[in-house]
Amino acid sequence: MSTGKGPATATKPGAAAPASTPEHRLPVLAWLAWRFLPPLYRDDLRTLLRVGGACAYLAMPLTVALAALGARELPGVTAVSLLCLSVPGLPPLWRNAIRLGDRRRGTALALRQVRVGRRTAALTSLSRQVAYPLAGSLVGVALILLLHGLLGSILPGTAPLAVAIKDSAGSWTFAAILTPIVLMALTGLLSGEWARATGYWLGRTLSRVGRRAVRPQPQ
Amino acid sequence: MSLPSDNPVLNAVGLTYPADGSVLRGAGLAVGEREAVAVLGEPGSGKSALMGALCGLIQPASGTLWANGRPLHALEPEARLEVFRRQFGVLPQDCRILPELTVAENVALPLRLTGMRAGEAVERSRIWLERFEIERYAPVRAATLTAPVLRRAALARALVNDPIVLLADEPLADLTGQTAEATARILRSIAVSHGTAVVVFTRDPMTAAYFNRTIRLANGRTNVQPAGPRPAAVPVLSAAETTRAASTPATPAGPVR
Repeated sequence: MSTGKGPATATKPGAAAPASTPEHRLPVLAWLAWRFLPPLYRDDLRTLLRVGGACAYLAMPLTVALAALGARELPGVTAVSLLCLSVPGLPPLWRNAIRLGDRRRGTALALRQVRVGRRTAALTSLSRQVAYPLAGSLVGVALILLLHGLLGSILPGTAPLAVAIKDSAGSWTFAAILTPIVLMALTGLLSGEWARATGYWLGRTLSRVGRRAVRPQPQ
Repeated sequence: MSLPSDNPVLNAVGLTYPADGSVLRGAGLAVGEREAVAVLGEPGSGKSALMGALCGLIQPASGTLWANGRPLHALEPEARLEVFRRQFGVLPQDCRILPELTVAENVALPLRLTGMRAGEAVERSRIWLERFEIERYAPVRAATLTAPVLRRAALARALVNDPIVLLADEPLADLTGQTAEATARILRSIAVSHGTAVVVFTRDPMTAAYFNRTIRLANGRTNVQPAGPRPAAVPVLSAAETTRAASTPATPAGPVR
């Protein structure tokens, strides 16, 4: 390693760095937010597929529920049916939202280490957390918008979901706009510190219960 | 208190944090231009808190902080942050490099945030990468690199702005043997060539022995060690000196609670 004199461009200490202004920082922060988006690594790709998949799955019952809510009163049976339909999508979303949150916090910390303000660092690091659920929920919304007519014709008239799918024709636009927003907010909520601690506690408790259940009984 | 310096670039007096002094109790130090100083303390002695107080990450309950004769404690928070941003280079122990960017982009980031054009910033960052002998990793994404390379990249990033003060928490932590010695030598030579006041926080007496002067930190209080030779006079300590320095017991400055 070289140990001699400093770089040729070495300047008088303290005089080199020009004043940083928000106008200077904004394009760089926007560029950084853009650079955080593509899933370059296998872990990121996996998180994108899982968060996106869970959001696509959740978007379908949620869009139907919001469309039905916008059109007229949602019957209780239909609401329960939609809730039951959405339950399988929640655990994978929670688990992967925790990963997404950890990644976001790491990115924000790295940005704070280059003297980006706390709030600005948090906002810049949000891009991935917004984009992944947005992409998934848009796929889910597109699918249900394309298929709701077909589903309505297949389902028997007495089925609770048929009521919602057939009768809510007027509010699909409202539902299609609101669904990605709700799912992005849900992902944000599930990636927070509180949700993370609760998720880990729940995981530990469930695994303990599982171990107890399979423990061999003494002869 | 620390050794009085003729013309301290960084001068902290009576830093207390939090108000009850449970972490820092009147800690202080003075570091002059072209000086490379080690703050040596056991885990829990308040090293990270002192570094946080010196670089504005935490707000001490009392005490004064001067940088280049400017009273930072008396400045408005925004103005103080701007001084820290422009004139202080910081290497935290848990240094994070953005894995989405290349090493050159990471090192150039502080310059780009000051408004410098991308090409110029990357070009200037290459000078520091060369100095730390990691220029071959410049176009490589940071996620694929080893901890020692990342540590040196983080050092380059802390220095790319030509700060007047460099605060580094365990800068040799992931480095071994020759690399550690060479990095310590670079830090000392930067102090001389750039006039940067280098303050290294460590718990390792061997690491501290690389630098000109050691300030002991115990129970949140600093204590001065006898002044070492001036930076330009003596290069890196010999192995025998290093061993001798390592075997010197720490002398707690304040009453042990």
